[in-house]
Amino acid sequence: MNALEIKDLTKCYPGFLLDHLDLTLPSGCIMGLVGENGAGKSTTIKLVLNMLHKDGGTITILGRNSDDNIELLKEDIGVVMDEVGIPECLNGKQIGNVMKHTFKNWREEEYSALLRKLSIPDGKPFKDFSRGMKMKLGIAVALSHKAKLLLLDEPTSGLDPVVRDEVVTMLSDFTREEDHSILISSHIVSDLEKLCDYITFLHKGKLLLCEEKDRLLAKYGLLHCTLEQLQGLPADAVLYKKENPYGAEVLVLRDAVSGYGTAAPVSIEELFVFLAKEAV
Amino acid sequence: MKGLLLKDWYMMKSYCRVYLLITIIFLMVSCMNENKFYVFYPCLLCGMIPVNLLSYDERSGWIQYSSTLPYTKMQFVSSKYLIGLFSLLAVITVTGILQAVKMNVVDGGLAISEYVITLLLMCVITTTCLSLCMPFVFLLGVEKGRIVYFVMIGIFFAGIAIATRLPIGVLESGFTPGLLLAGSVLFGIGICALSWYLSVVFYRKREL
Repeated sequence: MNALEIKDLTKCYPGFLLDHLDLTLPSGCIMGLVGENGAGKSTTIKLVLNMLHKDGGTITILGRNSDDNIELLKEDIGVVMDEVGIPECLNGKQIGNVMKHTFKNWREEEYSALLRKLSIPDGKPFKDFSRGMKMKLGIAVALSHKAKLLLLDEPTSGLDPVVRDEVVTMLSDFTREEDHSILISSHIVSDLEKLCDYITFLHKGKLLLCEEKDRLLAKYGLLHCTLEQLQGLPADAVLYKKENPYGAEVLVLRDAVSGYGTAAPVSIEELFVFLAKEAV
Repeated sequence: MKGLLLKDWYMMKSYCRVYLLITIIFLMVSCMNENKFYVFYPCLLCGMIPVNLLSYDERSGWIQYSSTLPYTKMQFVSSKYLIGLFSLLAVITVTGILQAVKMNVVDGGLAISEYVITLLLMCVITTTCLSLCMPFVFLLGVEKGRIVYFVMIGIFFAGIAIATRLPIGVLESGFTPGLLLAGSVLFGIGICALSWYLSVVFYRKREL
């Protein structure tokens, strides 16, 4: 079963169009949504959660159509947004009490254990937390009600590298169970590179690509060559080229340029930047 | 919906202590003063509690976050109306006890019809102000909705000013206490139900 299936999802704002988005997140996998600011990452997550009204398309979550079952499905979805959204005067214990009366599957012991593990004081008001602590608390809530799908919108932005690493570890631990899946958006691509099985590129509301990370890294490469060598490359192998007086940096399909030199591995971030520039 | 109510209760404990203080001060003054403003004002103030809670919700991002939790928009709206009604009930209870004590000790006896009508009017006026304001809050957001609430209070005090200039006979001839009681209750329930319905419709249409 797929954790999330999005077909033809469309949303139109003045000056923005999420254009017939299709993506599938298989159960047990982590998918990273990569895109520049305003690419449509948050819009996609909000549409999945029915926080925005879609103009077209279908969304299936954990095998059920979201139009009819979204409130029920939210029992199985853990969400962390860019701003966690917990009232500032509440402390960790009070948040636990609120969630106990919110989720049918709330696991109080697990929540308390996570607070202890993450060194989050349960009596301190949320407003006195650092951004990292706020985010960790948001994740602790999302992980304490037997969620099967996590939807995370920029959970690592604004966090220092140590906390980011902790968050990435927590998320990796979550997917140890085979029916647990994550859709995570971020423009810190290095985090996604560590974490994700699938990568989806969004650019100006359009899907650039959606593929397994390992396949992407095997498929694309970065070739450094002279301008003369560039002229000799097969046109259909060149996806993007950056020329300078001393040569060229070329994003290529590795298989298609095997006779023209060795293409270096390309990082997800470089790949996204090149593909986004090509798509402009 | 229990979780939403519990969260609002925690927030009231933190942010609404000043309302309690104002209520106590105004009610104490009302025991020494015949001006009905001191009786009515705490009630009108408590009608602001749901709007203020929504304002805190907007500022903290809870409105967005709560929509990721397994609550319907109807439950979210209903929780705010319930908080408003609970607050009103609490203020009316305190006011009722204090006014009964005042009437017995200061005025020399409890004038039942005046007592009941005063409390009832307080309920109806607060419910009306709240009911007229809440759909605008859910449609336009808290800040614009709050302006509507103050306009309602202004209209209410203008109404009082006009009513106090009417000859007493005009009011007494048209309304018996029984009729006023029944009419007020029906009006209060009706406008609250209509307001709740409109708020749910507006909030469902709102994108978060």
